[in-house]
Amino acid sequence: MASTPDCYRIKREVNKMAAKKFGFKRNVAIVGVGQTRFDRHFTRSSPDLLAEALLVALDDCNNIEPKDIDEHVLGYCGLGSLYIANVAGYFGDYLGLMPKPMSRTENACATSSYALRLTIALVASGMADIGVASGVEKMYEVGTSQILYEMSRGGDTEFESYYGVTFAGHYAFLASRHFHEYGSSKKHLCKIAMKNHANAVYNPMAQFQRAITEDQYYGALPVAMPMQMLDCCPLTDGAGAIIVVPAEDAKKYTDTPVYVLASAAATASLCTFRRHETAGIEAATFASDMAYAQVGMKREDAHHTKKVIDVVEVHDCFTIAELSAYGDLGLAKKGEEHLWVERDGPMVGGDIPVNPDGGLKAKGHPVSTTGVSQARTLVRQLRGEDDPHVQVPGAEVGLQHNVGGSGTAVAVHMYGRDLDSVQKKLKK
Amino acid sequence: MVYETIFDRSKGAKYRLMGMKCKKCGRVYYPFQYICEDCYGHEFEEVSLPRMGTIHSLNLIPVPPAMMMDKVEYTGPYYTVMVDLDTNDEVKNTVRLICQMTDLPYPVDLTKAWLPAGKDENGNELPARWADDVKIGTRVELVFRKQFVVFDGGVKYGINARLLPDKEGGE
Ligand SMILES: [Zn+2]
Repeated sequence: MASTPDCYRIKREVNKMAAKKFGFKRNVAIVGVGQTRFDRHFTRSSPDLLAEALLVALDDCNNIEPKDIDEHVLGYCGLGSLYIANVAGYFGDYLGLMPKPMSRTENACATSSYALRLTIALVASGMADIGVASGVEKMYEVGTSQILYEMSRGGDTEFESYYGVTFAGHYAFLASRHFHEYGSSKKHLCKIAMKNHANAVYNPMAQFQRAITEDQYYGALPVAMPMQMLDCCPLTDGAGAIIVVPAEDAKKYTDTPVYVLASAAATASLCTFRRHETAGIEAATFASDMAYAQVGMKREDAHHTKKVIDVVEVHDCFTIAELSAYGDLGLAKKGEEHLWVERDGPMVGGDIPVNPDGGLKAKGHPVSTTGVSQARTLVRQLRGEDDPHVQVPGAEVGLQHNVGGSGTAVAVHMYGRDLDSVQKKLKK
Repeated sequence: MVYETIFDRSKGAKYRLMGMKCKKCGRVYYPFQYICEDCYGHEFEEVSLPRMGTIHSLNLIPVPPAMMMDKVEYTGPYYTVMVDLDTNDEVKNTVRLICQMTDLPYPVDLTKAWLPAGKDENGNELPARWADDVKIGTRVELVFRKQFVVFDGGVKYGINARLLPDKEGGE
């Protein structure tokens, strides 16, 4: 594309960062996961939801009590809330975990993936032996128009939303461009929306536990053309929590630990128009390059024909975001994502099932909870305990992609049933 | 709410369409950033940006966001567009920005702007797509326009795009 600006420096940077092959001083594992149902929780407070998720996660492991927690990193955007400062203090007091250190992190829709990333760092560095990563958001606390306004601030307020660009508008730019450059179309987005809703039928935690039809998809209200209502994830209330421990201790707390193989992240400019790529989320490409380097994979090894990755959770805040993610992560060749959809590649039973829990689209998207909820799904998949209708048989390697804003901050995590799960599969 | 820091980045860029040119390598940025992506240079000079461009991507928003609902020029549906500015001797790289389309017969008829899937005259399948008048590749000119009126009566201005009168050729 002649009109796409070059990005030499950024590409050099990513190659340099990937070459460093960042890893952990000691390996870490996830031994407990929990979340609330994603729903409209009109009668419950945010701390109440967080407490439920935390207690479920603790219950999910053996021999870990609240008193054993060394560090707690909470993800919370605080949409529509007055609590923009001293957030960890507020939630910590409700939970009653004093005097344990607790901190709050925020990175738009990728918030709790970053909470997880920081918790992993605390445990991997030896600063904590039992870490909790959590996320909570209540999006029905205030009116829809205020939430949509606050969401539009996921882009730049002075150079984007100033001109009337909504949050969906950013992804509409991506869709228009992807259609133009690669020949994808609404019919592929329809298939993605229907897939995720069909998967959510088997997820009791999902906000919309029901399938949708093609007629419903095409007949849905326009939101920011080419995005219509059923291209968009809903507003959601919900909380989630993940328990992270050193890999060598994992068997003390569970019979089925899931190991963290990679934790990578990258940024791109806040203004969508200042990025180098419009028909994709470039920070996802960069973050996945770094994650693959951490586990000794090449980008080509992520391709669906290589059968290294078994199950994937991607950030489908809009259907086009999922389509783009296939290419950004290298599951399909860039520009051929829609051809992979036509061949049923990301369906349950396909090459690499994507979003077996219904994704953000149908499971729901309480912004600060999505990252830990995605991790929970992958942990349950790798343990083999998901619903049989959506369980990927014998899944060993999982990939998680969580996008903040319109692509400003992306976190990519990889999980394995064993520490050498990827190496074993590469040898095959 | 008006923050001094926001004006800091806006004054030249938003009201006079000025870019910032890296003194070391000549790359032009809009709006400015403190470190050059290409060469790590951190000294810049203001440069006037070209006012003609091509639509790089677009969307059509049926209802304005709540913050603009009260006093907007267009109550929707309206287009927001990503525009690739032309290059010249001063500005050698493509500078891109987002703005609203102006001077159209608003409100836009959504059913005529975004066409549903169908067939062409030869019976070939056509996907849902943008109509011919505003689409990727359409040439536009940037103009200065009133943008909206904020709650305390302050008028906000900005750069908007409009179609060329003679519909000069596309991409
Ligand atoms: Zn430079």
